[in-house]
Amino acid sequence: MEKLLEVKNLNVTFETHGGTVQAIRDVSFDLHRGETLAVVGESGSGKSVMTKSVMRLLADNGNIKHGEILYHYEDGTIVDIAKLRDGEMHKIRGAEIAMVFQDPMTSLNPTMTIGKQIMEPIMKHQNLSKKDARQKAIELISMVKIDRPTKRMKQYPHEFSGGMRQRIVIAVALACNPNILICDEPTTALDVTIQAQIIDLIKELQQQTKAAVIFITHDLGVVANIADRVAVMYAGKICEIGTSSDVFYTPAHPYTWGLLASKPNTDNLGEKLYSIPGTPPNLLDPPKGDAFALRSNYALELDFEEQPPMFKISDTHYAATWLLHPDAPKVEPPKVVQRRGAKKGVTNNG
Amino acid sequence: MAKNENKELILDVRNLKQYFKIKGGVIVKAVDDISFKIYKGETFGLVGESGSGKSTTGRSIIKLYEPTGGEVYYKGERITVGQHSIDEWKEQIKILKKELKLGKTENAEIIAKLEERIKTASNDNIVKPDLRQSMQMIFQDPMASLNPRMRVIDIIAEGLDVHHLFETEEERKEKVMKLLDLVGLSEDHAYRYPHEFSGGQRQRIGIARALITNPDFIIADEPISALDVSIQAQVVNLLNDLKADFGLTYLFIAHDLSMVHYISDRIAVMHLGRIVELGTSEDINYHPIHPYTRSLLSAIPQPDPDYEHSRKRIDYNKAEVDYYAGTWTEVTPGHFVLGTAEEISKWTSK
Ligand SMILES: Nc1ncnc2c1ncn2[C@@H]1O[C@H](COP(=O)(O)OP(=O)(O)OP(=O)(O)O)[C@@H](O)[C@H]1O
Ligand SMILES: Nc1ncnc2c1ncn2[C@@H]1O[C@H](COP(=O)(O)OP(=O)(O)OP(=O)(O)O)[C@@H](O)[C@H]1O
Ligand SMILES: [Mg+2]
Ligand SMILES: [Mg+2]
Repeated sequence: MEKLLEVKNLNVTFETHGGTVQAIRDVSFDLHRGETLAVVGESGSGKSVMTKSVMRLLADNGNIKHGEILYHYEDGTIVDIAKLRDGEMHKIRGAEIAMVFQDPMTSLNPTMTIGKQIMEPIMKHQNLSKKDARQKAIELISMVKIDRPTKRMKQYPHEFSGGMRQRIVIAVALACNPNILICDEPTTALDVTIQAQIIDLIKELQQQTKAAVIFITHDLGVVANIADRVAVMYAGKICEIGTSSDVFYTPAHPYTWGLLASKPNTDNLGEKLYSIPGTPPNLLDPPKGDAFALRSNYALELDFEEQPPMFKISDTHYAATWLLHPDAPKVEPPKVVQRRGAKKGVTNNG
Repeated sequence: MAKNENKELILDVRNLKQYFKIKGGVIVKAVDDISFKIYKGETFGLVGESGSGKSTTGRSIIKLYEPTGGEVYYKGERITVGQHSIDEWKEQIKILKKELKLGKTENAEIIAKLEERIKTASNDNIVKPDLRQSMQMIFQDPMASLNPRMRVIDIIAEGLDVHHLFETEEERKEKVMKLLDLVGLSEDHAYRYPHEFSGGQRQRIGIARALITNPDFIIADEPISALDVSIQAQVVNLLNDLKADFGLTYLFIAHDLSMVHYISDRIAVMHLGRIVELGTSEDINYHPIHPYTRSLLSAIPQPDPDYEHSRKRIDYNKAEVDYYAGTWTEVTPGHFVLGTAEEISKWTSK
């Protein structure tokens, strides 16, 4: 499959009063045309920072310390986004790579009408006349399933519900048919029916344009629906990556086990939900071994001492835990996780 | 529900209406004549599609808006009377006065009663400080609701400051630190600013802020949708523990039905400003009646790729159901649905 993006050994830091936050620590992955990569992981694990680095939209106190972000243009030219000048980055942002941000209120301008906000990028990147841009904007609003699109053009963000704002943000991102669409929790503010429609919409557009999608979400149900591959992040690192089937049915990293065990289902109604004990590590001073070891019931001594490499489980499936070392003792994943593998193909939720 | 009869009523919402006038004279009926009761110690889930009026309901109850119509009682006291009712009474008085002039002397007494009613209504509509302390809201959009120029410690302590709930600076700090710990943040987070946090971390700041005044009733507007699964489990366990330990009551607004199912005692399903179905968590999840509820349930994503790829969603055609023709009908004890007799017999026979 044709590569669109290669991220190699990315390190991102933030300077703060308390010191240097190591938000992304040596992350590598590839993204191919037409595929959907879901990124899951704990709050604060670096999902947004990783994707904002790709867009070169880090906060002022943020730095790409090390690593490459290679973008492959359609004509075969490759550029390293990490080293691109701002002027060139402007050409990529929106037109080649577009992003739907996590917080819809901060990505919409509260003092500007919805119509104007959708028309602006269209006019900038697609050289359309004002009239055509207006027509396109109305189409986009109805495409993301908002009623009375012509009237909506004149409204302001605060007159929209949370979910409607988010759909507007999606419309803005789709305005220029990007090659890579990054969606940072695009559906968390949406109810399940609209969520399903938006996901179908993203899939449909992807079919048409063969765009690649990076989809950040907390909802493992959505991941199961949309993802071809899944990357699991913890403390600024990818701790497991594989096909959707690899990660959901035969997960290998103890953090992934914990994640899959915390979802409510019919087996645990009325019981306390499983929650991973402890708090995430301090990224001002990350632990030297597997950052998850402190919170894991499965940690080996070595996990505290030395960062485990990405072990290859299959051609598609990798995970960073010493449990995968040939000499490691054999451990049994939690029962809920074992059941997943056994029940493959059968839902565990009514 | 028979069980509720001897339970203490905490919130009683009667015929609440919240309309907004938008540009061009259009009126948005965000909440249109909804009624429900919440009992002490229960978690009442409110679900429904984006834009159906869930947040508006919460905001009207906590008096961020002046409701268009209806009444809200909190712990037996009326806290809200819709402007419509007051206007209606004023109209009645006008007519009664005319008649009085024409010799209908018995009207004098009725007029006095209505005038008294208007006076108490205006009185009730004033927000009393103890209500602010006892009823709190966790907002949907964490970034928009946190003041970017305030440190986390001061954001969380705001309720303490406003209601003078501490003696010494030391005590104030201690209370904040305790809550930070409770919501899974650490002490060194107290002196940072909101932009330095991830989306999920910000949401936990919002939760700590709502909890600090020791409220009895919390309106939680999508409190967990921005959190990752493992923290969701922590927060849900936390909300449940607080409920058990302090007898807290929740109005829990969310769209993740599996989580709402898990956490709620009773659930109301909203659509287009109306409540279309209300019942116990079991009623709604296992014996749904309204086609909208069924469609919503069929769209819940499950963390299982094989299931997701073969899932069939039930589409809902709102044109087939006229909400204004239907009546609020108790189908089985405590299980209500909005529909005509004909519709309900059709839905229940399926
Ligand atoms: N401008 C900033 N200054 C300092 N630290 C930052 C800044 N932006 C992000 N961070 C830190 O970087 C880490 C990663 O944050 P990021 O927003 O990528 O998390 P996330 O995985 O997207 O979490 P969530 O699921 O909660 O959105 C966090 O520890 C966060 O506190
Ligand atoms: N201040 C306002 N002015 C005008 N219209 C408003 C205002 N607030 C909300 N609305 C409208 O009221 C309706 C209900 O909005 P609300 O925010 O209550 O929806 P919601 O159910 O919370 O949706 P979501 O799940 O997307 O958060 C929407 O049509 C919205 O556009
Ligand atoms: Mg994020
Ligand atoms: Mg809302």
